[in-house]
Amino acid sequence: MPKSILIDPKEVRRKGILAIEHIPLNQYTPDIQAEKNLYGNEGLKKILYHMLVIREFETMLNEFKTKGKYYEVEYNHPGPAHLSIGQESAAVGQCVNLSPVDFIFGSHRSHGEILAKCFSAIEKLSDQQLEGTMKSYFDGAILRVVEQEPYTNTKDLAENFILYAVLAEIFARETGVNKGLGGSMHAFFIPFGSMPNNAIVGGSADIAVGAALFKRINQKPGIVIANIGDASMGCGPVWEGMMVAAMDQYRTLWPKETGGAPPVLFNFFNNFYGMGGQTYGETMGFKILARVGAGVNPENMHAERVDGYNPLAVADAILRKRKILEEGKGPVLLDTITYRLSGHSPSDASSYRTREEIQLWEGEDCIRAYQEYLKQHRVVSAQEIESMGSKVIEKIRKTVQLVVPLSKSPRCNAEFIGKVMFSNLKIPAWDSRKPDVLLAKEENPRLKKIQSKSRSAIDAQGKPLPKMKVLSFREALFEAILDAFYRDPTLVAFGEENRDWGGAFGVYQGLTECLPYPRLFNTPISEGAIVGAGVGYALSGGRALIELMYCDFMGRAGDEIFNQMSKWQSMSAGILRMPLVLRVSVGSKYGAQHSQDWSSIVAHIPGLKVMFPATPYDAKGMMNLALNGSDPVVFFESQRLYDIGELFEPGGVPEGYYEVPEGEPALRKKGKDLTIITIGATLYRALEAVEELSHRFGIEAEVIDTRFLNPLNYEKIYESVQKTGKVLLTSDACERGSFLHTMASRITETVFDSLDAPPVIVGSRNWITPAYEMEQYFFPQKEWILDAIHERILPLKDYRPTTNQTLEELHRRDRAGV
Amino acid sequence: MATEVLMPRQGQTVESCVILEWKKKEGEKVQKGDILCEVETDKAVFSVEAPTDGILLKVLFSEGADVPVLTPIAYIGEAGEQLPGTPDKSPPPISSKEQQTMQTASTTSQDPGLQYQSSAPDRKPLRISPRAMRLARQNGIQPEILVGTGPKGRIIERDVRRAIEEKQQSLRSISEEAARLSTSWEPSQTTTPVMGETKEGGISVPVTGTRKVISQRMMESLQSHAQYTLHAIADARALLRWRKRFKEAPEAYGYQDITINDLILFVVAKTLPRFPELNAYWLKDTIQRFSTVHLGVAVDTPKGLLVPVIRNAQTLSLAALSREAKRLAQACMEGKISTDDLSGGTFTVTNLGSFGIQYFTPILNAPQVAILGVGTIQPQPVMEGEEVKFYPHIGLSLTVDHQAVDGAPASRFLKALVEATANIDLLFAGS
Repeated sequence: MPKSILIDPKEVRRKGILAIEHIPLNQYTPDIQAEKNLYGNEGLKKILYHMLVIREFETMLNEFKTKGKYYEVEYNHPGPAHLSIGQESAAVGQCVNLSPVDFIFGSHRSHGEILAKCFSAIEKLSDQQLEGTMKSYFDGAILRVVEQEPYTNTKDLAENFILYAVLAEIFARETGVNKGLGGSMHAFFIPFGSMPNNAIVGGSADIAVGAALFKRINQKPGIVIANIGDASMGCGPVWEGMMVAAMDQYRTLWPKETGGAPPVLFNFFNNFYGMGGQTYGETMGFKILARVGAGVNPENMHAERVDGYNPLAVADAILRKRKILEEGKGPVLLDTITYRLSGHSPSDASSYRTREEIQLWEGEDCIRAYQEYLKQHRVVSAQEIESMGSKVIEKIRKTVQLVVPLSKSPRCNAEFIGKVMFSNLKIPAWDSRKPDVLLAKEENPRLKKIQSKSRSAIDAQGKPLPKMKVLSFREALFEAILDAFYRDPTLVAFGEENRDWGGAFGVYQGLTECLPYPRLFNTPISEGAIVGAGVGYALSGGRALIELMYCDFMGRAGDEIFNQMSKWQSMSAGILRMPLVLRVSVGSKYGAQHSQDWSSIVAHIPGLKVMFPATPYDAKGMMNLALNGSDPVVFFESQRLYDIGELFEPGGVPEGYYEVPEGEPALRKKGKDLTIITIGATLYRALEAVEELSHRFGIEAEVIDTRFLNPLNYEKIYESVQKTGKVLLTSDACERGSFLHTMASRITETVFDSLDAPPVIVGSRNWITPAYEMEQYFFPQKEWILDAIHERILPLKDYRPTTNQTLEELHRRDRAGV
Repeated sequence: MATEVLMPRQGQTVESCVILEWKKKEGEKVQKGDILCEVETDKAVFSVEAPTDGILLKVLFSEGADVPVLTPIAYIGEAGEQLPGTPDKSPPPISSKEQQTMQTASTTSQDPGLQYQSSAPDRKPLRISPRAMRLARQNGIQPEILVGTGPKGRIIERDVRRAIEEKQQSLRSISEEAARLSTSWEPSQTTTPVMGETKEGGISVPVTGTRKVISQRMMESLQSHAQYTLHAIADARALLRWRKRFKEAPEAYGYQDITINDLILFVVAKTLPRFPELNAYWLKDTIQRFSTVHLGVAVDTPKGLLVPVIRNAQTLSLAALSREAKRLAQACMEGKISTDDLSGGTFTVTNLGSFGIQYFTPILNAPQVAILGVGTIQPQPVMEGEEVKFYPHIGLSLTVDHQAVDGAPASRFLKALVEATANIDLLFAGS
């Protein structure tokens, strides 16, 4: 418990000097005898073979990009090809001492890493395992193409399989490793431990931390490597990932049997350039990247600079570091120096570096140097090298002949993409083991307290009950979440102030008592890494419930939410699942950076399910739904509603388990004259307006609470608007670009002939949120709703608007950009 | 903040007014009470005054535009002042001349292969919600006659619902009035029955005022009544003889101005009481028959046809009938006709004989069940023994609502008219 760790002023104010341990640089000394003992002659030759395969593979891509032709085959590849010619030794060396269960995540420049990891796995797996994998992967669809060509044995076939499936992926074919939906920058092959490669620089760092957390918490074997570039050291999420990976609590607070820190290795393939920016001497100040380790923890992250131009030096480093990681003493940072002889991409004219520099590195070419080394020590003969070279060319040529013709390797049906945006599975538990808890669910003190409360906000006579005696929105959420923790052993929750405090708004109060440390923990204030780690945890096979204290902080996790959480299911062609629920609270009272409703922004991003309950019944039923699915959910909670009791559901919030049907809006009040559609907390302000419409004007409005932004079944809405002909939509999101406009446009298109007025949107002003005392001028109010109805839908008899909701005013605001 | 100048509402039934002439120009200084423009309803011309002092900043509608009442037509404010959102500000008002040019251009430049209609409107497009439009169609309501109470005068559902209600109510009230009329006649308060014909021409003319009312009433008449027309000719020798006789009569009698049409009116007024099923209203649920004849007489005026009513026509002498017809026609021509004189007719006579029209198919002046069209006088062959002789005959076209009156009774009536026309002398005995 944090309370047990005392921060003593005398201690922290003491004078002294911080001594930093030395950081080793390129300490590897070749020792052919030791290397032969470790890897055998065959093993050393395989390293060369794998490097040659990668070199030829990328040379082939370069030929296609620059000449449109490789040997006799012509092809125009319009997509990306970020080559790593010159970096083969670093990729292959890394995988020498990795097992298939070890994960490597990579970057946009990861062709070499994918091939190295898969070829390494092929060496280590049995023929039976390889056959099993190839037959089951996409039901053998790739294998059926590849096995048409002659092969010598299962490993040879497996190599052909990988070369084919990776090239098919790069050329966007259905027989690619990800059916062509990932492409050059995202290809990966999970059965061999090659995990998603990320086109966002540094994007793999925090995801790898989440995958390592998954392995550690769920006691899965293997380590996790984030292969990122030297330039990614400038990316916030990389630092955030390192901070989460290096938390003290793994050793100070987590149970010993968990095994310590997540086994994650931040491997910076340091080729000295970030696109054209030179990280050494120009865009960074670390001079030697390994230095950064010293800024993270007392172990310097076990940082070293490794000579990536010698595959054996890299293999040695991985061997030593994986021991540290397995002992729970990570994280590890490696500064693996390397050099890309090719440009950033084929369009790169290398204007940022000198010919002289390139020639110097060409002189040190990792493949030629390693060949010479093996020849020198009689591990391999010149003849063998030559035949190895021709074998490689032959393999790549055959691969190309199979991949290029669309008749042999077609593209997938575009509609298939729609089928893999979501997995839509019901998975109550992602593992069969017994969930790790500290006490029986029934003994939970908070749950006991809740049991004495009314499940409804009103008594049998319809009178409101005192707040303290009513089950609140936050308690309804708690019930759903508690339930999930006792159902799914893989479920973990993390974020800021989640333990003890119970989250900033007390939803998790009562969880600390029943959940041991790995299942509920606090993170640093690293919103990017909170989501990124959640992504890594979920795509590795566990369920994560993560929290961002305020919706506004989503800005800090933009890439993780918009590019990672949302996209990996579909970029993997449906191989990956993303059981990740991101809770965000929508604030008020705290001004411009703590009061925004960004549900519209999230709903705009394909691949996310977006939920926004407004009642305790829905809070529980929708959280149950979210925590029982297989898709990423952004779950919005309005801070205005945490205390509210259930007003709509007869009988109140059920004690048992139930789910709200996905995508179905809720009819809150029946009416015939006008439809009001709400998202989130505006439901209650809309109901006030409805009351006044009825009393003063005899207008009976129907109220529909959207609940789901995506997916969303509009049927109920169409039906209502067809009946009333008039519709007003309101939410706390700023009016411009609000999701309400999407709804309005769909409604207009669908029931145009029934409309008596265009749909009218009442959103928040396109301003900063002012101070609490002025919020009535910013958020939609009852009066705005009435005024907008009067001005733009149905002039009300003898009504005097108090705010300006005219179209002219909106036009003025448009012109002013506010 | 600039002040809106609204198109004033001139009474309950006025839905829109046509701007005749702007007396002030944009940018001109105006004082409160200054006449800004002249506008016209279907009944009268009146002036719109400046509601405040200032500069006439913006004129929103050009001359000739038909503007719904309570719609802003101009802004008055201080020089350089920014106008509040002006929905009709851009594109700027189009003058009628430009409109014509545009229309011509659009019809000539249009690819003849294209079936699309150029949407360039010759007047402000009807602002009506799709829902209201559908409802209006379903209930046979002409949306153009509706006053929109939605935002900025948009016609919305409730306006159509009100119109449907009013339509039903007016049918009810006609029925009630008819009941009263059948016992004793009192000045009627019903709305003006108007009828008319279409004109042709190469220029676009805004459909407003009388024209608009005529078009609506005629369409309604044709849509909701089962009309058929019977044609007959009547021996016109007596008519011509008497006409000549009256012309030659001493001035003191005051018979000089008795026309052929007056004679026909006289024939109708005297014959109709014997055929109450033709002197009736069709009210859907009931047919209201009248014992008194309030005879509508179609009058061609520059604004279109009006139908003033000669009260208790069956009681009048030919001379009195003629005088009343002259008085009413005069009032119509001068635009001084009163609402009272335009309402309550039970039967209508319309005459196109002066144009040489032989027969035609008059359109019912609903809810009246019959209308008589009077044609020209022409010689017609008549067998007299073995001999064929040519005598002048007058065409009579009787349009009847088959909902109320079958062919036989209608024919009997027309036959009676033919006989009475030929033997008009006999009718004089009765007066």
